[in-house]
Amino acid sequence: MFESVCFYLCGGLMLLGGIMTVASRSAVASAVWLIFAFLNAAGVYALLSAPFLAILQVLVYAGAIMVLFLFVIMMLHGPVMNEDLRSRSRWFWPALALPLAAIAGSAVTLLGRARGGAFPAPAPHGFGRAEQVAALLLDRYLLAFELISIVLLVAIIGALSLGLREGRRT
Amino acid sequence: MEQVTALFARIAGAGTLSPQLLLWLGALTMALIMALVMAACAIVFTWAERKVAGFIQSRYGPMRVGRWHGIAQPIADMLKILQKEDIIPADADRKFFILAPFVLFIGSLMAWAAIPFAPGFVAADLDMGLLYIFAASSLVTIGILMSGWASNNKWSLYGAARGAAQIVSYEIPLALAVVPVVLYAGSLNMTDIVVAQQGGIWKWFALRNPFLFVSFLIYFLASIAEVNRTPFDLPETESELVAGYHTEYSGMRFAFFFLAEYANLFLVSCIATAVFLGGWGHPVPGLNFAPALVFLAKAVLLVLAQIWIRWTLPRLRVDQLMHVCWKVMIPLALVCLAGSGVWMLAFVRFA
Amino acid sequence: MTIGLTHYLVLATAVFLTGLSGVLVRRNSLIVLMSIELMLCAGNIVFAAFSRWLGDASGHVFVLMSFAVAAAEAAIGLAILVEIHRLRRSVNLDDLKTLTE
Repeated sequence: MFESVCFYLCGGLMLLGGIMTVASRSAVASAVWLIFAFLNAAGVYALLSAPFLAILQVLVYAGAIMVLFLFVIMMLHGPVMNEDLRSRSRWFWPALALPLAAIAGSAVTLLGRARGGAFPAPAPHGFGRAEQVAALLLDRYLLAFELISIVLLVAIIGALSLGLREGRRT
Repeated sequence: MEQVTALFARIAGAGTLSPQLLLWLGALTMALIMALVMAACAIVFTWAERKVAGFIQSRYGPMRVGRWHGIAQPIADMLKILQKEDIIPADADRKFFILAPFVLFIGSLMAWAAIPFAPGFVAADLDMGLLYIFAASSLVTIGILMSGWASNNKWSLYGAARGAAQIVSYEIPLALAVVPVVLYAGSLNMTDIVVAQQGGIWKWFALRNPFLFVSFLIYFLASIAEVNRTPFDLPETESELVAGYHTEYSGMRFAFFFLAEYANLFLVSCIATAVFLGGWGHPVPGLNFAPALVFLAKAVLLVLAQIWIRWTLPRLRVDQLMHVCWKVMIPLALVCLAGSGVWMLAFVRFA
Repeated sequence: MTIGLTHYLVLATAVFLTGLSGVLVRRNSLIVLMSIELMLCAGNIVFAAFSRWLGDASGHVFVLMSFAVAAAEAAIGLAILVEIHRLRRSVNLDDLKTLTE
């Protein structure tokens, strides 16, 4: 019971955050709604007994990525602020219909399968905690871990070179 | 938290309250206690800040209000700030302007939940307490950016942009500096980290090996930058930006910024105490009656050190600030991390 | 009805499609980037949900990879956007069509 309330609360608010991200006129409002959606996503992770992911979700998305977004929005300021939603592309109505159709369709599927995929309760001890994820990361998925660090390194170098070229020009 | 819940259960009589209700009541009480601690530390530290500033500049600081050395000055200030007119600039983005102080405040209030003041006295003894604290305090940046944006004022915007750049940058050395401690303690739980340091001053993580001592210094400097204080107070330089991101705020809304600032100052000191300075442990034998007081005393000493630094050193330039962070502190923190690892392999026997 | 795998999949689908509609509809490239982040987040929830269902935490590792990719994508994407804004004074996707003309 408690779990369902938490799920509908976090999930609903996350969806609301997502919709408002897409529908807000100003980019700053979009970013703030997206932060709201991500915070609720952290709640969803916590419900899925993934506390490590929940904390990293806040740390990485709300603490770093969205700060970067807000920072860039403020740097570019004026021209990017408000977009007239009426000058929309021809994809507007199909795109708007997509999530609505999906929600309706999924709800029908749900009603059709009354015992749809209940989780094996409860989660094994220590499931999704830092120790377990770390053990997997440094053992079974060591190669992927190393590769992703290379991806991040390349991203750092790329962002730096994009920024530095501008510095040399002026 | 368990003690609080148990207390409620005893007051109401066993079995009259459902466990879930008890949980909520306990959480609410702890949140209230933490908010009160925040307010109290802001009140005490404003006074301490002004007195220390006074002594450093060969004057007395506040002397009038209250019998002894202006001790009631912060209460008078608080009463004054409550009466001030609440101004929202006409061109401000109203929603975000109102929301920003709360985001800032909630960010620092949330982080308090995982600080272990004494054995068992911790609001939420989380498995990943240390990570949680960093995650919660990263919300502060968003509050700063929102306030700077919503004020619609160029000084505020500059202040907010500087603040965000600075805090995001300094979070990296801050986090890297505590990683060797996690290595030693083998846990992210704050209580475990403190317990691992019990039994004499040489057990404190700051003194376990030379690399950890350097890590502690890196943490301390980065934490000063994290709370935007001189010599890293670029986001709110009085001489350039009026007051940075909270220029347009007045009255109660300004009080929230003020409160959050001092609460953050105390928070980073509490984290340093728990992670590097042995928490409630102390070398004096026979002094065991008040572990929480020992903890608070250490944290207050660190705060005083930060106040001392603020009134002693001049401010850095923006480029120097970034240089220190990216080209000095981060490489040094990485060296300390590797060094601590090697030290552990060489000298520490694993149980 | 207890909350199970299906509920999380429905939530993830809805969020993913919201993000997709944002990518298709919005002309402000910053908001398009944000919508992509939203879609990535929906994918992560599916990983975590199946991980819980199978009782195997490997899914959490994949989510961590996805976090790293999202961070890299945001850093590079925003750096490119800033460059484009310097050159074109606009980040509106309708103004950035030189290759099609």
